[in-house]
Amino acid sequence: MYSFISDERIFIWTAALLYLVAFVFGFYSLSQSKRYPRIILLTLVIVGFLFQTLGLYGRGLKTSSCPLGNPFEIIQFITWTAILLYLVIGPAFRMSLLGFFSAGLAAGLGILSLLIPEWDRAYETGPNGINPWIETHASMALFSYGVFATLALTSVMYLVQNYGLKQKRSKGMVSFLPSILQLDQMNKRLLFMGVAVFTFAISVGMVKWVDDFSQIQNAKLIFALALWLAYLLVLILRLLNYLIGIKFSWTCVVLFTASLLTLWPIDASRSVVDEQPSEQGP
Amino acid sequence: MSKTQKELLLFASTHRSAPLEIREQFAISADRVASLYSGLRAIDSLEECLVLNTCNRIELYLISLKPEIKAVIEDHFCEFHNFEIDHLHKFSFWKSGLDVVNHLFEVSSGIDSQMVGETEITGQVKSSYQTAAEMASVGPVLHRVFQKCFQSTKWVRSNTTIGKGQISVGSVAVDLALRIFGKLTSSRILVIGTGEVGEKTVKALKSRGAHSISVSSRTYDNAETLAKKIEGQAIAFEDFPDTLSKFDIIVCSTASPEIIISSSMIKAVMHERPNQPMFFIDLAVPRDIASQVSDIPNVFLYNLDDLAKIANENLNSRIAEIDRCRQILQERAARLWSGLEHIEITH
Repeated sequence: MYSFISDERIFIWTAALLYLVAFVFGFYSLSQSKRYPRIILLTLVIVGFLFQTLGLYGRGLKTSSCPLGNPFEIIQFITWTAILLYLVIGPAFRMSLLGFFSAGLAAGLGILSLLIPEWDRAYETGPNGINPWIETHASMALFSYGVFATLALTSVMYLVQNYGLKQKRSKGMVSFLPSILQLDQMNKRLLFMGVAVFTFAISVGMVKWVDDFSQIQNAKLIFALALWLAYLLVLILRLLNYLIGIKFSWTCVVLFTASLLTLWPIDASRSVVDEQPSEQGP
Repeated sequence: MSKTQKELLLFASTHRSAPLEIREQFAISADRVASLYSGLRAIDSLEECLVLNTCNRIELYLISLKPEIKAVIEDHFCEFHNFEIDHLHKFSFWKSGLDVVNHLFEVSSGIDSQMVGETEITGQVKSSYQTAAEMASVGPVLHRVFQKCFQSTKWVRSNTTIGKGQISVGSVAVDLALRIFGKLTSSRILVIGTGEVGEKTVKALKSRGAHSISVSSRTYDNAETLAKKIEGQAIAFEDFPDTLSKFDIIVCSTASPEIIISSSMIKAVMHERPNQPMFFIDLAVPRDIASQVSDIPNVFLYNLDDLAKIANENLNSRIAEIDRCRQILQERAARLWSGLEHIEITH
C-alpha cells in the first residue's frame, strides 16, 4: 500500500479539496439565489485540475506507467477526464453549471478514494512498466468512463431542468441550467463520443486478447463487453428516437453508476500483488 | 453653507406623486424638450439644469445660486404646461442636496420605478444626460453627479439581484422558452387567438429572435391583421390542428368557452416529433388547452396563473433586494456628496 502521505497524494488531496470548495461555493451561491460565480468556480476547478494532473503525473513516474493500477487511480483518472471534458466543452458549448456538477463529482469520488487506503494498494508493473497496448486500452477505456461520467452529469442537469419546468419552478439552480434542447444535444454528442472511444478501447483490448487468451480474466471481459453493448444499445435506441427525454437521461445515470460498480469485479479479478505498504510509495 | 451658495435641487412629478391622468398632462414630447431647456437657460440664477422626461416622471435637476429659484421654476413650469400652481404643488415635490443625489441614484438603478428593477430607466437617464450635455446645460456639478450615478447603477446591477428575473407575462414566457429551446431564432411559433396579451407575448418572443410566426383565429381577417402586424402568416382556424406538429411554441388566447387543444391531440402530435419539446402558453380564461397536456413527456404547459405566479415571485425577489440596494446607493451618494465640497456647493 502507498504511504498515506506521499507527494502525489498531497497534490490529489489538494485537488479534491479545491473541487469541494468550488462545489460548496457554487451550492451556497445557488441556494441563496445569488449570481452564479462562474469565474471563481472556473478558477478553483482549473487550479484543482492542475494539482490533480501533477498528482497523477507523479504517480505515473513512480509506477513507470499510466496510473491505472488500482481503484484509487482508476477513480482519479475518471474524475480527471470528467474535469478535462468540462474545461473543454463547458466554455465552448456554454454549459453553465456543468463545472458545478463536475466539481461535485470529482470532490465526492476523489475524497472517497482518498479516504479508503485499501483502494490505493500497490501493484506490479514490471521493470519497464506495462505493455503500451494494454496501457492504451486501459487509458482509452477509462477515458470513455470519464465521458460517461460527464454524460451522467449532463443527464442529471437535464432531469433537474425538466423537473423545474414541469413543476413551474423558476428560482435557484434551474434558472442557471442550460436549456432542455441544449442538454439533449450535448447528451447525444457525449454518448456518441463515449461509445466511439470505448469501442476503440475494446478493439485494442480484443487484439491483445486474441494474441493471448490466458492474459485476460473472464470477469473483466464479460463486464467490459456487457457495458459496451449496453451503451451501444442506448446509442442505437437514442438515434432511432426510441429512448429519449427523461427515460434516456435516467438510463445514462443508471448505466454510469453500473459502470462504476463493474470496476470492482474487474479489479477483483486482478491479482493482488502486495497487501503491505509498497516500496513504490515514499 | 459655502461661500457662493450654490444649491443642488430637484423639482419632480413622478408616479409616486401624481396619478396617470396628471402625468399625462405633464408629459413633454421629444420636440418640446428643447423648448423647455431654452426657457430654463434663460433664468439668470440657474447655473446648470437637466431634464429627465419619461412616461412615469418629469424631473428637473438644477444647480442654482439663489434659493428663490423654486418659485421661478414653478412659474415657468406652470406656464410651459398651462397648469394651475395649486395643482402643481399637489402633484409635485422638491428635494435638495444629498436627497437629490440619493433620489437620482435610486431612479437610475430602477428601484424607484413602477416595475421595480426594470432596466429601461437607466437608458433614459443616460439619454437625458446626453441631451443636456449636447445643449451645454450641464456643468461640473451635474457632470460629476451623473457620472457617479452611472457607476453606482452599474455596480448595483452587477452585484445585487435587483435586475434578475422577469416581471411581465411576455418576458416570463420568453424566459421559459429560453429554458426549453436555448435560443428562439429557429423556434416556430403559432398564435391562436388575437387577444392583446397573446400579441404582447409573441412580440416579446419576437424581440428575442423568433421570426417564424403564424396566427390562427376563428375570424380569418383578425388573424390576417395580426399576422401582418407581427410579420407572420395567417392560418385558417380549421387547419391549425393539422399543423400543430410544425410548431415549437403555441400561444393561445382565444375567447373560446371550451378546450380547443386536447391531450389526445398533443399525444398524436408528439408521435410525429418525439424528441422535439413543445411549449404551450395558455393565456385564455377559460383555458384553451387541457391541463392533462402537461403530463405528456417533452411538453411544457403554462397557463396565465403559472406565468403570473412566476412574475410575482420575481417581483418579490426584487422588492426584497431594494433595501440592500438603497443602503449601498446611499453610502455611495454620501461619498460623492462629501467629495463635492471643493466645488463650493451648499451642504
